[in-house]
Amino acid sequence: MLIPFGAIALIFIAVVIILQISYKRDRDFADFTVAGRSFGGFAQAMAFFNTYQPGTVFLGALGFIISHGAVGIVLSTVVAPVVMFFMAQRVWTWGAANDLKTQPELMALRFQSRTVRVAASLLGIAGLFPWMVLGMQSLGAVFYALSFGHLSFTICVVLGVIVMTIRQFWTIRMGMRGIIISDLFQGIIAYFGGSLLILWLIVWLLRNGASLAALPAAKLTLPGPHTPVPLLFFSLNLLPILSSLCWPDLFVRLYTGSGVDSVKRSSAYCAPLALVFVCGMCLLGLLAATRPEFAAMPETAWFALGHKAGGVWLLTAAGVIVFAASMGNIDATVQSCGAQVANDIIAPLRARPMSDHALTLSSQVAMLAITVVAAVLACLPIPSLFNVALLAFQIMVQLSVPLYFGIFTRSGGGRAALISMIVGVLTVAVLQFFWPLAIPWAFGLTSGALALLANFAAYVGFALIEKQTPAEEHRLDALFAGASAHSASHDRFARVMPPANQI
Amino acid sequence: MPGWVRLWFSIDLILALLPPLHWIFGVPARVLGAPMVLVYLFGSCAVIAASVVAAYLATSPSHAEW
Repeated sequence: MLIPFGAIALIFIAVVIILQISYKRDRDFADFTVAGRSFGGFAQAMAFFNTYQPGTVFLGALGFIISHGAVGIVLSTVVAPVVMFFMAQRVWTWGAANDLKTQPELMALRFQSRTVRVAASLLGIAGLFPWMVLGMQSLGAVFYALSFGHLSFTICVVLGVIVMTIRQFWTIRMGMRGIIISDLFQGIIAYFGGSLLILWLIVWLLRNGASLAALPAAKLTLPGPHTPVPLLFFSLNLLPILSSLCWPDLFVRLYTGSGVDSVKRSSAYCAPLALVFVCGMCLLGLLAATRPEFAAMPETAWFALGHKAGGVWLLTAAGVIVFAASMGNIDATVQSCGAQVANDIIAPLRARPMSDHALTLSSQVAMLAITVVAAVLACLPIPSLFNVALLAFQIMVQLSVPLYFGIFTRSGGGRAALISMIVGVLTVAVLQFFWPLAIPWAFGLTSGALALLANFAAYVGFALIEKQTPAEEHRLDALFAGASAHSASHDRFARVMPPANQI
Repeated sequence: MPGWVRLWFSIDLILALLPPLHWIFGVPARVLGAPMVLVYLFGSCAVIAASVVAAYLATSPSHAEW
């Protein structure tokens, strides 16, 4: 127990030392929320991975592939950098030109609506919060595996929650700058180290007789047109792809880049790493499924594989990797929720504008409150928490229709955006109540995917009915032309900080 | 963004999301000794990842700084 827990403690201390050394007092709220738009491509790529691939990927996603085979192979991690590359130009340019700090603030700019801003913020926080509680609980699984049964699972969950709560002191103190600096360190451990360990385990399994030929055909088959759920694989891919940049904590990463070029560069770093990581994880899952000792406990197979292949040292490596990935994800969630509460709920609802100091303070208080509530909930035996998190995800993805329409087209105004989100959320709520998983009469689509159709129809319908005023058309022309003009003149070298400041 | 990059990104989405492709290639039949479903999924991942790198190299002169 000493070696694995000692390694976890060392990683935690190293993160704290890095944060203490790199501490810099934030000049204003923008500095606190988007780190002064100062980071380069590699730091952003690590931040992207820390946000999009939490520690639960090594447990839940690997376990799903072991249990269900190829249908669990989701391409969204590889497609998300494409979405990020495609959005970089407009989102970063609008953000820098208008001092945007969050996703709802961009929607408010595009739709000129305070209601859309508050609604988008609430949707984002509702979508993120259950995953934060789950993330805290998943650390319990790490500690439990590393304790070799010496500690009970409940004690391990409480231990994980305490560690994560202590870590949030630096998130609250340093805001986004601290998160990205720590993501850089954690990301290298979790995703470069994680990929290496995955490859090691694949080689170990192959050398010990594991073979894809031993897999039953069902695990190498995607649901076909003659099955009850022919669109299940489509749905499992569509929602994560659409939601990728809808996650508020992921979207805000686009603003932390020092320019359009660094955001695009981070996509180019992410894509090959995602290729190795995703394909390696899938192959590992499929090979592990051929061995009864791993197939019997898919959720903890990551640790079992490590222990079997390399004893306590490789088990320790497996635990450290999940710990590093979980820490980055929880930090990002706390930060983005706190920033949105202050920036997009409290500030717009107040009669007077808030100062930078008041916004920062409100954000820090919100982060503290969110951390404490999540920590308490994580320690409670809440039934069906994973189902609640799935529901939250299906609701949160309803942001995608107005978000992508708003960024890429001039059609639709505030009313279309608001109505489409409401229609989407209500449709999810009703469908999820009756069909919590795939909907049989919709060929296996999930409630979120079907609700997106209603959401899309509502947006397009209102965009057609609601004519924009000449003044609004003129404003949108100027807004979109601004991004294009920026594209022509500054795209390639756009930076708000000198290159020397890049990490 | 050059037209060929947009075209490549469109192909990415088709590879990832078109259900008939999932049905045709999502089978355990062997291709070059490997299950077809894995050739399709891993091959799609490789094409998608390559598109982002190619798009960056094509649109940013600062790629020389890598």
